[in-house]
Amino acid sequence: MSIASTTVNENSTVAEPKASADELPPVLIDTSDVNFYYGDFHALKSVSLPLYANRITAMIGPSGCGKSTFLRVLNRMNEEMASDTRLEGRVLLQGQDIYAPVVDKSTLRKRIGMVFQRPNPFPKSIFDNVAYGPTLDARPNRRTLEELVERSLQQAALWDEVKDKLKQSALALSGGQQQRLCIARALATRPEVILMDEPCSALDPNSTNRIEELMLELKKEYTIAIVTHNMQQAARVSDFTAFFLKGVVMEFGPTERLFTSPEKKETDDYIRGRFG
Amino acid sequence: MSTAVSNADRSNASLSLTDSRTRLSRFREKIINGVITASGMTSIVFVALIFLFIFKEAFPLLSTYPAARFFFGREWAPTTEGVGGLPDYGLVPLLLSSVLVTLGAVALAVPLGVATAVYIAEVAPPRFRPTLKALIELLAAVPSVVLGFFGMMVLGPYLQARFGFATGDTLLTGSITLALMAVPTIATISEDALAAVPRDIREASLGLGATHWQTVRNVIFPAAASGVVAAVMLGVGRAIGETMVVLMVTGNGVGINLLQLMGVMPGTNNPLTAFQNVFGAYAEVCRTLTATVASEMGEVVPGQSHYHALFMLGVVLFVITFLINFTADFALKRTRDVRSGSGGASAFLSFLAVLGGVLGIGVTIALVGMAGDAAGGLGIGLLVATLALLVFLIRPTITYRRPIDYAMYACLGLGLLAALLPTLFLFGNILIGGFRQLTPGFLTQAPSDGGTAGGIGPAILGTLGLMFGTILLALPLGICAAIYLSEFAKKGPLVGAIRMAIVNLAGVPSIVHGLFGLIVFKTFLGGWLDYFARNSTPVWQNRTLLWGAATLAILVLPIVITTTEEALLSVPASFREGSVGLGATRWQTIRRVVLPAAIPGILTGAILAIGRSAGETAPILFTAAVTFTTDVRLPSPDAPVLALPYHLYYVVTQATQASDGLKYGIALVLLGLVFTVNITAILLRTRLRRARRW
Repeated sequence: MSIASTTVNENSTVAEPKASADELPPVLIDTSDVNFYYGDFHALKSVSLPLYANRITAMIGPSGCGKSTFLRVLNRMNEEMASDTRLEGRVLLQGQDIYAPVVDKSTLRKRIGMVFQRPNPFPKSIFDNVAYGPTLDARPNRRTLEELVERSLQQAALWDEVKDKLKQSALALSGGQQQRLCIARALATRPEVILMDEPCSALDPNSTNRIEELMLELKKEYTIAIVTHNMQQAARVSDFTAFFLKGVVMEFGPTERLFTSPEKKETDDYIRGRFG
Repeated sequence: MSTAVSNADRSNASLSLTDSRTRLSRFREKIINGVITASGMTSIVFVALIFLFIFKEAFPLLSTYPAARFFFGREWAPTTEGVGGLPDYGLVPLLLSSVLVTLGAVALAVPLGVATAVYIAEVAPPRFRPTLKALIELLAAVPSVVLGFFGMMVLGPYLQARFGFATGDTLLTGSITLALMAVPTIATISEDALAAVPRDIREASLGLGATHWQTVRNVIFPAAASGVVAAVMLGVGRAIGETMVVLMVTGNGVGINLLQLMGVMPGTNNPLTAFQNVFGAYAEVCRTLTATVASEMGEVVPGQSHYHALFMLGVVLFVITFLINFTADFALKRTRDVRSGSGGASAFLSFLAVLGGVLGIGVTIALVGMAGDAAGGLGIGLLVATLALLVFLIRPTITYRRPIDYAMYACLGLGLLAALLPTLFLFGNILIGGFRQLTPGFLTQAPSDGGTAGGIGPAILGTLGLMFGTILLALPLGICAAIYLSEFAKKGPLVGAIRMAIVNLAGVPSIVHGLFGLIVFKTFLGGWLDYFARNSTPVWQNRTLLWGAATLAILVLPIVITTTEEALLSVPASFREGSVGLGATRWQTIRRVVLPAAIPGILTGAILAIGRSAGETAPILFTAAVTFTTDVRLPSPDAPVLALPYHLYYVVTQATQASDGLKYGIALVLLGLVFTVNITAILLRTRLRRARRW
């Protein structure tokens, strides 16, 4: 734990409560005035949040506050799981509207990868799980593919544990290993952004620790958005934090500032554990 | 406000969000989606086509024949000229026979089926449940022609001797044999309904101090009542649409009591006599709708009024089973919606359970009697002892019991006994009667002397050909239709209509499938093929393997669709989510993740469908099967075939001078084949359920 928090502090360039605009890293994904509906249910209300490049942005808030919905707005996964969804507002990836009609959802999701709440490896071998994305529309030669799989597994800090059993079923791995495999699987499509939906909620503390360390390593190359129920986790790993409540972003800012001197009373109540 | 990030590290990452796949692969995916969506509609199309074509062939009757005389006519005499120079095509005796046979079957099968279901769902220890359910499923797999054979060889003669009937081929024989067939249907679906009752209300009742039986009676029965009603309706649908059994064991004539009941013969002026007549009818021959179509269709010339009249019977059958299935489906939906039922359900289902016990005693006594003068009853005592142990020694896991509970368990156990024993008896009887016949020569040679001697090689090959052809046609279509339902379709009226169509397609009587195959495949498609191939002599307008397989494929399509859909739905949503989250399209997700995970389940469905196609007779009567061939080779698609079920029917009813050993031999081979296929499916499914890791 202590290692993790030190790393945050060392790497953090945004620790100052009122950092001026030119000290901020560039914005990779920008959302402005996003409203999202499941049928009649207004799940997100006028949300505007930036995701800064090579930073970890955490979404916290009580159950049903819209934080997962927001995450799934970013790679349009909401449309897969429910019919009758509607979005207003703009979501821009490097200036391109990801809800524009010309946008292909598959291509979008290869650029914005996702890691789910429960590890969900396919019932295939470890190798085939990681090779899944890269072989969807291309036929890379064996060597390229092997290199890609190895590099992804190394990035996910799983290589050393599985390099001798790549042909074995992914379902034989432990929960924490499975989740790192799912991260490797997402990395293999060479995304720019990784969305993580409570990636540690189904894991033991040890595995959680490893994933958190991994995230800090990954942000050197990737932009990460994480939804978490665990406020300590948000405090430990993230650079920016957004506090969601009833579909609204109550407060957004550098993590340290938000946790030490929140501006809103609701934020203060929540991080002190008074509700949620 | 947003600044682009330089991505020197990601040289190969596309900066565009538009579809980067080739035009070809996008086009291919569109085609695949189209094929799957179209396959999803096939059930509706087939039900509509069956109705339209049968109706189209039936309708011309009404232009030359008064409708009232058909629907209210009390005589069926198609070959003699009656009033006005027209033959008599009276529906009443046929409908009456069908209804009485079905009523008799239901009266026997409902108590036994319900008692069996309650025993398995509530009394049997959980570890025996899969075995008992598998056994019931195996009973459901016995081909109807084999049941008919048993009715002719054993049950009929026994009833004749025991009760002094004029013949063994009676309405009662038909009812009992049909009951053997309806029991598994009723038991399986009722058991599902009972097992689906939520655990919490069961626990609530026990928590309030109710005994186990009080809980079953007062809480579980009302909650499961609609499901049991649906089970009974489906059992009725099977019984009324069944062809081979009634064709073989009910004599195909109209008895004196039926004639009196209809007022054709004098003697029915007061209600009491009518009542006596109904009972008397069970001791006499009868002539059902299905048997009439099956026995007469082979002899009529298309275009004759007789031909149209038989299709009109097909329409009547289709409409009856459609209504029955519609009601059953409605009742099943109610089960899912409503938790509470009436108090009447408690009393009635308890009554059925007791009745099941009484029938169980009767059936056991009858079987012991039958074993005395029929081959193969030697093991009966042993079986009774084993099953009695199963019933009385194995205690339920529930702790709070009173004497009345034990009495009810005994009734339920006896009901189970009566449901299982007759078919086990049948199996023993056929095994002992036929195993001496199983020589290499019998299995490989062609039949000789009109089927009275020789082997059954061509029949085995023909049946294998039909099985292969059927699954080749039904599997791709059924899998695509199931993919549509589980992965593509959104809830709505269209999906509702498709499910309704599948239920009804599964309930269409097999003889109606046979009529459909005759008119659509053999006559219509065959005509076109011969025209385009410029065949001087008809090739495709004959009975051929292909037409038989096509007809059977439509018959087994609902099995393939429902089992495949179940397999697809059991693949966790998180697999799909994971795949889509990595940028896979819907079809890529299905092909690379969902289908591979569902393969064992799909295979089980395919095997069940193969087993069904091996045992069916009525659908191939007019489309594929012939009585004689000497060709001991795998038949080609355009060749007529000898098939085991039809060959058994033919030898038993036409080649009567054949030895019993020969007849039993054919029955044994057919039963063995069907059982092997079905046991494979059951074992595969059990292994699959145990091995599933997600």
